[in-house]
Amino acid sequence: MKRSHLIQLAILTIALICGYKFIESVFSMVLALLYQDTDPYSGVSSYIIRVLIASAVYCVALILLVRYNRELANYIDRVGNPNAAVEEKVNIHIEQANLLYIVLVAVCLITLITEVPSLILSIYNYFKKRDRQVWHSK
Amino acid sequence: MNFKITAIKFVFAIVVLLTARPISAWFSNQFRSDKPLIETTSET
Repeated sequence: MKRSHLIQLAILTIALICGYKFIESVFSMVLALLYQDTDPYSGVSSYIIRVLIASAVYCVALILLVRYNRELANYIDRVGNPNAAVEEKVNIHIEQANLLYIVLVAVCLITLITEVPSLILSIYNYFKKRDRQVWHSK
Repeated sequence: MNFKITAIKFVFAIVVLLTARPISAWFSNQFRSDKPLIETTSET
C-alpha cells in the first residue's frame, strides 16, 4: 500500500466522523426545535443557532474532505517527504488483538476528552458554592 | 447527580484504558483466527 493511500484512508475516516457528527447535530437540532414548540419561553434559540453553525461546519468539512481527499493526501505526502523520488510503500499487518486495543484506547480517550471538562467544571462549581456559603455565614 | 455520572464515566474510562491490553488479548484468545484483519505488502 502506498503511503498516500494510507493518508487518503485517514482523511476518509475523518470525513466519516464529520458525517456522523453532522447527523448527530441535526438530530439534536430537531429535538431542540420540538422542545421549543412545547415550551416557547425555554430560550433554546441560542442553542439552536450554535448547533446550526456546528452542523454547517461539519457538513462543509464532510463535503470538502470527500471531494478533495486525493489531492489533500498527495499534498500531505509531498509535504511530509519532499525529497522522495518514488512513492514510498508501507507494509501494514494488523491482527485482531491489536485492532481491538486501538479501538479500546480510542474510545477511552474520546470519553476522557469529553468528560474531563465537565468534571473540572463540576468541581469548580462545588467549591464556588461552598465558598459562597462560608462567606455568607461569616 | 451530573457530577456523579461524569465521575463514574471518568473512572471507568481510566480503568479500561489501563487494562486495554489484557482485555484485547482475552477477546483475541476467545475468537482466535490466524488470518490478520488488515494486511498489505509492498507489492500492492
